[in-house]
Amino acid sequence: MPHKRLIPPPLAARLLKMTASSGDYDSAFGDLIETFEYIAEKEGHKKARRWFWKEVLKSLSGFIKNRTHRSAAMIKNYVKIALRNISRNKIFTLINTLGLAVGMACFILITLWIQDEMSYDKFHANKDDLYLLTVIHPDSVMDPNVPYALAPRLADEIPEIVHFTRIYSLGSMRTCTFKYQPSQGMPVMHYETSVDLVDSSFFNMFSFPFVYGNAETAFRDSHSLVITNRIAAKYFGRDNPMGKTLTLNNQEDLVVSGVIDIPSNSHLQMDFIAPLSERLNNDWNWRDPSYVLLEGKSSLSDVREKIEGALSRHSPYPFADTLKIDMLPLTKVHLSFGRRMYVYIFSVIAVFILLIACINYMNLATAGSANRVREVGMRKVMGAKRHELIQQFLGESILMSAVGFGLSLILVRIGLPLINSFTAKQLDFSLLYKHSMYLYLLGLILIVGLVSGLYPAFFLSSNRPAVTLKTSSPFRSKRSSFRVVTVVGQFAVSVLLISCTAVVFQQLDFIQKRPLGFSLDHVVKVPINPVLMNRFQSYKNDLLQNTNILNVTAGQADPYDEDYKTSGVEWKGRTRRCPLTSDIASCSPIIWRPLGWR
Amino acid sequence: MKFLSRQEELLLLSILRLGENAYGVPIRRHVSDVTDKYWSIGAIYDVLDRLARKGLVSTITGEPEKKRGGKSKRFYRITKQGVRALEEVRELQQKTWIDISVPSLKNR
Repeated sequence: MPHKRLIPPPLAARLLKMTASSGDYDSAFGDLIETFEYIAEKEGHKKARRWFWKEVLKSLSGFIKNRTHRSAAMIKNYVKIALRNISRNKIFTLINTLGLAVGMACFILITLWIQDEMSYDKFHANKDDLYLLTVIHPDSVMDPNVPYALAPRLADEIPEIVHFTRIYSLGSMRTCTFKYQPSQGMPVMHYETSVDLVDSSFFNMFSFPFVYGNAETAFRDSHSLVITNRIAAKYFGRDNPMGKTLTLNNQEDLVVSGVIDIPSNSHLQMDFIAPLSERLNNDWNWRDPSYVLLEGKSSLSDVREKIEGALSRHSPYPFADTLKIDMLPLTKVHLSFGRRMYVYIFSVIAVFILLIACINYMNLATAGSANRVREVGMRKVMGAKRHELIQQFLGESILMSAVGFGLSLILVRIGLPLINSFTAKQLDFSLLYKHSMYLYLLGLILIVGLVSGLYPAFFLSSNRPAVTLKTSSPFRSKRSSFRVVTVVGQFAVSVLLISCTAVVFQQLDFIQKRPLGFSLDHVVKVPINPVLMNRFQSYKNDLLQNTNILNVTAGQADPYDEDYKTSGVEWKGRTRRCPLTSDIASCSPIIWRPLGWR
Repeated sequence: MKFLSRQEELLLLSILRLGENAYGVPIRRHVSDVTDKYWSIGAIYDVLDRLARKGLVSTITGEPEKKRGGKSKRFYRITKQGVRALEEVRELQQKTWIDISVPSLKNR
């Protein structure tokens, strides 16, 4: 075959190139090709190809062995020694890995919590253009509520505002009942507190996923009602709730026009959403939040400038010139109002707990290393280099960290329901099954392994063989100051965390047990609707017929509820320099006297 | 001093025999012929590298050749130490085998 150029199988050639050490490669490869061509000429291409493959595969083991033989044997030995050490000190190993596992489990749980906190309101398609209107009080306290009349005025004035919606919380203003009368059977009726009226652009701004219906048809007429799927199940069971009628306060019939699913990581949580029919354009009451949707490319600082003085321009309040209107990006709403601090604190705590676990491992590993010191001496005598010993010990600690990680996953699984009930969240184990999370967790294993193994590795490998092998006690009498520092640091952090926990518990205990000046014992609160309120006297008389009821009274709000905010409180001696936002609650002494309160 | 291994001895002798033409392909062919066994190129180079490390052979890299896929040949020459090592094993061989007759298997 003189006209056809014969080439050896490329894949085989490549394989050879990869495994052969560089010095050997060129001439060996030349030899191979020469022989290949010789065989190809004599016995045909096919046979030559087969020969070439066979040759490469046969040489492979030789090349690889040449390269890695020593390290492979050493790794085998390291693993063997590590396993022997584990089986020799079972309890010690158990304590050590459990320590790591608990630390890592705490870390993972806190990570999940923080991840959830950071994920709030990110599911909205318009998340980057949605803002909450806020009022900044003179003492720079941020108030998430603005007067109802404000948002429509801003929308008229400022072209950048595409949509606005106010939330009128009906459920917190008065008691709401909803009744469903099925075509046959008993009516279903419940008191509801999470009932909100919103502007019709609400569903154009927020993208809550619809289970039934869609954003366009949700508020087609003024008697529409959108409910969550939890409420749908509560009233209608498994039936399709669309088009069914719910009667509000026995007066108004509302027709279900959509069912939405509000994710748990939404700061807006509402059960019933109905369109706001009144314009409320002159209502300067100040209880609920308003949101605006800005045009995609509008300049935030321009809009900010325009809205800043809106309250003093429009509102009738005399103190309005001390208040500034501002906007808060929707994705930051959840973490503002004090929550951001928790995220920082928990991040620091997570790192501290992990650090304690690492230091714990570090100290246990160095303290319990009497036999290992002899091993190191022996290895050094046999010619081990220091960096090889360091590698060995780091490898061991990473292995332990991986085992600890496995245990920590079990702990996380067990701990999640507890954390969920404690924090009222719905964290799920499956949050860990994400590509970004795999990388993060792998990093966790490596970092924990390295941090906890670094000191033992350097400490153990630094021993001088003659000293360790000669003396009966391989411990050096000199105290390691590093270890003293880490132990003290570890205890300091532990004591700090434990005492913080104790203080929090005592505070909660104090809040719950301290006498308030009035007694809530034997007092029952019954929400009543406006109809009953108008005929309160006869209702009261009816109740007093029951000898178990000593007294009855009614009021607009609980005196211990903080409902309204004001910064207009004035008292003698107050200076402008001392601005203050305080809570007010409406109450009158006459109303509460029947309960024996002063 | 350590004695040469059988493989090393075999390779050194074939390098000596091949003279000017002692590079991978003929060395391998010769060794395979003499031993009547299959030698992979990796196995040959394993021993050749060891010999080179011990300083028993020296290497000369030839010009790249088109016929060999653009690769050069590496020629091996035996060094003085190599010759000495060969003489040592031959002496040893002669001393240890002197006056010994191994019973022939055919007669059993």
